[in-house]
Amino acid sequence: MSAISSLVPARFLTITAHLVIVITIFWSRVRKKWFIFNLISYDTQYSSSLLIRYFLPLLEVCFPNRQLSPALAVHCSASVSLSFFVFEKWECWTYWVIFATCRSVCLCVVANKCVISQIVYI
Amino acid sequence: MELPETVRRRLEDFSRNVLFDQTRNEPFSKHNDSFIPHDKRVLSSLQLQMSLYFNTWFFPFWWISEAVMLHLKYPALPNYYKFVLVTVLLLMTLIEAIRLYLGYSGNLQEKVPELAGFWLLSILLQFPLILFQLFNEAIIILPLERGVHIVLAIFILTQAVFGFVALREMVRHTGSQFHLQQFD
Repeated sequence: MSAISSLVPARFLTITAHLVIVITIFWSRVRKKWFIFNLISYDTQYSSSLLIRYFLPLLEVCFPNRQLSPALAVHCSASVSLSFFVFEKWECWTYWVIFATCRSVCLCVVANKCVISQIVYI
Repeated sequence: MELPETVRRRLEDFSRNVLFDQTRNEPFSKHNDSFIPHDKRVLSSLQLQMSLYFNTWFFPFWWISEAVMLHLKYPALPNYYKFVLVTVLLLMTLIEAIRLYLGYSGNLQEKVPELAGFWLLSILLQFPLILFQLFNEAIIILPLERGVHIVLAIFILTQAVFGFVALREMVRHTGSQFHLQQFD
């Protein structure tokens, strides 16, 4: 039980680190260059990215899943990748690759957990 | 480590008289649970405790980020803001340590004076300081500072709201306990 209880602050800290580094990246001056999709307008991209980037981590903190380790690993890898993105000055499109990978892993884990819990309760 | 007796008494009087007006309480006949002597309800607030717990874990990282950013932007600041920002950092560190300790002891041990002290420190001192750090553009707010200050501001806001609710419940409960003791 002590191993699980020590994962709770670790999970919170990785989610917060992810959130802080995303805020840091998007509050710096070069953020307008990072919306590379010309099909969607800048305003739509900005508002949808605000919703996804800022509110989803807050929801994850408020409504935690039981499976701590996948969320922990995903957020940790996202934070480390984004730190590399800042310090090594990677290309703009790599941000969206990192974002899509981490979010899709999170969603897959959550979806699998929901499916499994439904099967168990039937 | 306990608060001095005079401070405890003043904070308790402040909670009872200034924050929550006891004369506006409903008559006890309307509440079924107040007839139970020595009420065993748990008054500690779970939301407040969660907020305090995560705030305690977040605080060292906030401090490191703020100290490093201040060190980086120090040469670019005007002289008066150099003094102001160093003072603000020291004050926020001291207040945060005392605030979190009072919040823990007040919430877990269900003590009204400690919780009132925690709430006052959050609202009157820490909240204006964090707003100063977030909205005063003259101090060259760096993007990392914005990130960590936003998180700390959210913590202080949630603690202000949940702390107020917990304090109100505790004051009402201790008031009803003192009222029922007259009939023992």
